[in-house]
Amino acid sequence: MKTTLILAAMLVLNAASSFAKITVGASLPDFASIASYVGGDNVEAFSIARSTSDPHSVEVLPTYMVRVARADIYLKVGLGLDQWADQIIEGARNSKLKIVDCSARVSVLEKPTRKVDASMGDVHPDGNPHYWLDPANGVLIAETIADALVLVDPEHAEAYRANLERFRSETEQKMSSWKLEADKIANHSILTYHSSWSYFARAFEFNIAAKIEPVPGIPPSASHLALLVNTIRKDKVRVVIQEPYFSDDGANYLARETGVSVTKLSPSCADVSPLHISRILIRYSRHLARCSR
Amino acid sequence: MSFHFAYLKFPLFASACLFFSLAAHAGVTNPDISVIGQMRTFITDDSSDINHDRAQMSFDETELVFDAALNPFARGTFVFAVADEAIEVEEGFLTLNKGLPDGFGLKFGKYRVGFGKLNSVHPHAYPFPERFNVLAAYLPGEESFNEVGGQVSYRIPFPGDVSSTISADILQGNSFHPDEDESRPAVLGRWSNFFMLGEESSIELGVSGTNGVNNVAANTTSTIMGVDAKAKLRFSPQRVLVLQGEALTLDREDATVDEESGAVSTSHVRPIGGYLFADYSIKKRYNIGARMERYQRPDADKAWDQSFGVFAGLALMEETTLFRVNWDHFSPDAEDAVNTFTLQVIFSMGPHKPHQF
Repeated sequence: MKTTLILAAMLVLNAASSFAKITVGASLPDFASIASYVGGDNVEAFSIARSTSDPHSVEVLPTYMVRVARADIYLKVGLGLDQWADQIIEGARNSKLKIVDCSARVSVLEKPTRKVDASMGDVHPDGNPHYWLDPANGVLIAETIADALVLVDPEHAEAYRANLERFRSETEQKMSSWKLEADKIANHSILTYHSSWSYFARAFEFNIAAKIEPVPGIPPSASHLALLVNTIRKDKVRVVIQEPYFSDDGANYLARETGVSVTKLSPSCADVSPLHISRILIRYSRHLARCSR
Repeated sequence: MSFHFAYLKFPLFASACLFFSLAAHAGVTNPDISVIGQMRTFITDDSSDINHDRAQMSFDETELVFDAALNPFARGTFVFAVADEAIEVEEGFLTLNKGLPDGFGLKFGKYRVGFGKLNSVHPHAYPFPERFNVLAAYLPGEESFNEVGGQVSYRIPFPGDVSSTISADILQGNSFHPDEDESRPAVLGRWSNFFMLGEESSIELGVSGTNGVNNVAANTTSTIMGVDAKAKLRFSPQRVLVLQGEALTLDREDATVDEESGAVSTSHVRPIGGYLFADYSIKKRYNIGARMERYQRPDADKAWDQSFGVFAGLALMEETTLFRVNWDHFSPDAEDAVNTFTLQVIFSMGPHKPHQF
């Protein structure tokens, strides 16, 4: 009787462990979203930053360390954007944690060609880290995540690879409809606050006429705003994209002076759900279409 | 002649190889280096200050920080305080947070001890220029409670997102008896808890206690107990209110030697006190706040001293350059009040910022 009970308990424990989900922590919700898609039912993903957070400076809270302490994989944006994640990872005290730099496969834009120093503002020495806003890069991120999942959980490797292929084909299919949507927008000249939108602009052929920040991380001066007023008039810019976590004083000034429409858009999506990249792009392109009419 | 050149070529070549191999690895092994400078202009009506009622300027200690991973499991940090005449190792410690059983952490070296919320923080990271008088009066150490020792900490695996950490330190103990040659160890314990209040705000509660020998010959001890609380209420990405306070009690045994009989008698001093401050970030770059403290002096009279102050800060562009103004009104018991107005400029190079947003 005793032996039967022990065997039954062992069987239950074994079954429980084989059903245990892989926990994936990510710096940004976008990456958690892709991990949810690629991981499917075998993965539980969470994000440290919210879509409304400034991804450059997330406050390191002990709560985040507790969450990462329970994770199997941590997805970093890399390229110097989420340096704050290092403190969370260190404080998590999780020896089994696999840290994945999702920028590994990405072809990086705006990589400085000379020595970087603080006189150039908060320039990322490894290039522009806002790469997830190009759907093609979304696929590269998914590939990196799939590799990490296969390594940590080889038992479900086939499922991960299948989900990756589904993600790839869905994204490729949708890319053409997104491009059509973007093409409908008459004016492709935009102004942005920060360089968050470079990859998005490249993917959908928008022209970033200028940035409200004179250099990354530095708020605009009066003379820089005066230059921007000229740029807006010269390039017939109708839309300013403003991240919600940066001061909108400069954008509001430009709106008053030139009548340009200020659109507050977060480069991240709030919900951690599959294919949010598609949703965010559709939403953004529609918003831009409305504003630039 | 040619033989000599050939002979010399090998060590030159070997040296060159070594140099370039080291240079190639330098980017990997070099620590993050930061320098923080602090300039202060102040005017005080304190009659004990020879320059009272005149503006005075000083360049405070420059902080030099080196920080790097030592290997996949450990990190090393050095903080040097550079003043006019000396360079002092303010902190030098290694932390080990990986490769240990889950939740455990180790720390060894010289470090600002984690008693309460403020002691372990470097003053440039405070929203005001000076630490509270109550901490200076009750905690051992001249500028901070800073000791050589070792710490073991453990994060209790509570369910949910609660972070609860207990730590125990064994310390050299010299800050308790700084003028003595002999050394007696001291101990410290802390329990800190962090909870989220909704999605954006948080509260931290902690209890600390430390005990050390204050007189080696008489074997008398000091025990300090403290409770601390910090609430961080975020109203928007830019507007944040921080409320923080600590209450402390000191139990110090004082030894008195009877000159005639040589007998040693002990007495206890048990003062209490605390501080409270509020710091409100109006926008990312601007903050205003107020601070107050009230405490009994650690002597037989236990007279009450108190101070009140207001402060404001401006980050010029981003986190590297800060301007702070502070007015402080100190009212010692039965003595004239002292007013001090301070303007502080803090600037930093490197990744270690003076006061992170």
